[in-house]
Amino acid sequence: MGVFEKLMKLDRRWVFLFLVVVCVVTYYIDYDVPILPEDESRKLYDFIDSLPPGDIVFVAIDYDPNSMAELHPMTYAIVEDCWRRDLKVIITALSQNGPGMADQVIRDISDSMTVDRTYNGVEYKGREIANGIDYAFLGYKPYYTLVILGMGQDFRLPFPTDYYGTPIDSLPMMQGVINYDNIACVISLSSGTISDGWISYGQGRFGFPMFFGLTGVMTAQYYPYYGSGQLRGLMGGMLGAAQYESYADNPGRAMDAMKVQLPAHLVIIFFIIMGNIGYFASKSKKFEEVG
Amino acid sequence: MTLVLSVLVIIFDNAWAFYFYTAEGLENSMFRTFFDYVMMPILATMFSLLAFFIASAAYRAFRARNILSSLLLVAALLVMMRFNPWIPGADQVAAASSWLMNVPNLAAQRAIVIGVGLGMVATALKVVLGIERSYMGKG
Repeated sequence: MGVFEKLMKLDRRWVFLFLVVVCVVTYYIDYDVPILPEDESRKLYDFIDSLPPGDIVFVAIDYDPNSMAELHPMTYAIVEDCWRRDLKVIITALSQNGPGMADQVIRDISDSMTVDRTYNGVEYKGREIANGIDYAFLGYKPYYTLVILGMGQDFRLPFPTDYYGTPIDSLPMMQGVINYDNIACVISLSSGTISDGWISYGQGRFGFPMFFGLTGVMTAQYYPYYGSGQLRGLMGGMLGAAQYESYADNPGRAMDAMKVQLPAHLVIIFFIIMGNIGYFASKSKKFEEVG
Repeated sequence: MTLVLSVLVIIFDNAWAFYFYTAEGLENSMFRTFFDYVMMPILATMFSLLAFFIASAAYRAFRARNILSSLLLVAALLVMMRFNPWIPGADQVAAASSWLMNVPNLAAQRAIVIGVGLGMVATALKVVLGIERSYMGKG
């Protein structure tokens, strides 16, 4: 068997092993990856940057732990950026395991918010994050289309109390906040069809500024809505999260993970090229043997 | 065995969801520990396996057999290489990739969405007008 035949019949376990070695080695090597900007994600950052302190941003955590590698860094970057700018955040989870994700985000960022930090040359003093003042966590309700439509009338219809059982009317930041008219934008971080619900029943019906954070494989599907202006901005996969961290000057999980993702992509490209070399070489060899 | 496990997963997955209706679940330290240190790593690991299967499948399936598959291969390589700062001409690759996403991809996705919409209207009209053939073949 020639080299090219061997290349064509390479056991897939070698591919797995090579990818594992590259991922592990690049994770432990300390180096920085320059993040190139993109309009789609930049628009979200610019929008958040333009909001005055006190405005309310609605963050929908519509994903489960299986897509946390891509979407969790987005949530961390956005929520911390909002809180550093004194924006208030309403958090919901329309995905089954979303409350666990939201709870982890709130705990972790509340801890890091107690430390003084400087981002993009602006010094932000550390402070305590308080439930009902800086954020309202409304929790999870099933049948997301009904929940999205209900919140368009009044947040209190699907969520009479917050996740912790406190009536929404008794939360200071929810005073006078009735529905989507009273918030600056909705950011849905989603790994499934809930994004379609936000487009059809949320943005399409009520017309609020909408942004998406999606897994890498989903992103291409939502470009028509970005092109039509229904989506003001779009973050795609780990790269989108890393771009947001880069704009916010707050390197975190995503920029760290890009150290692994970029070499892994190069490995896949390498294998595709090797596979094609093997394919063409074996094809020309067969052609020579026949002719 | 698989069947039994599947049934157990379905039962306990629903019970799990029920716990998420209120903070009762997450205020329970055992529940939270299980979620943070068992559920999350398991689900994240399942999804991360995709990377290995994609690498293997790409190696076997992405062959430039004809013009259409060559076009797909070039588009896939451009999108994979976009925003990779180490390759030569990274800015041009990023621009080409953005064009691919914003023009041909957008047009194709829009055509699919419009096609699906028209199909739904046509099916709805057939049902409303009573000319939809039922699943048993009767009108």
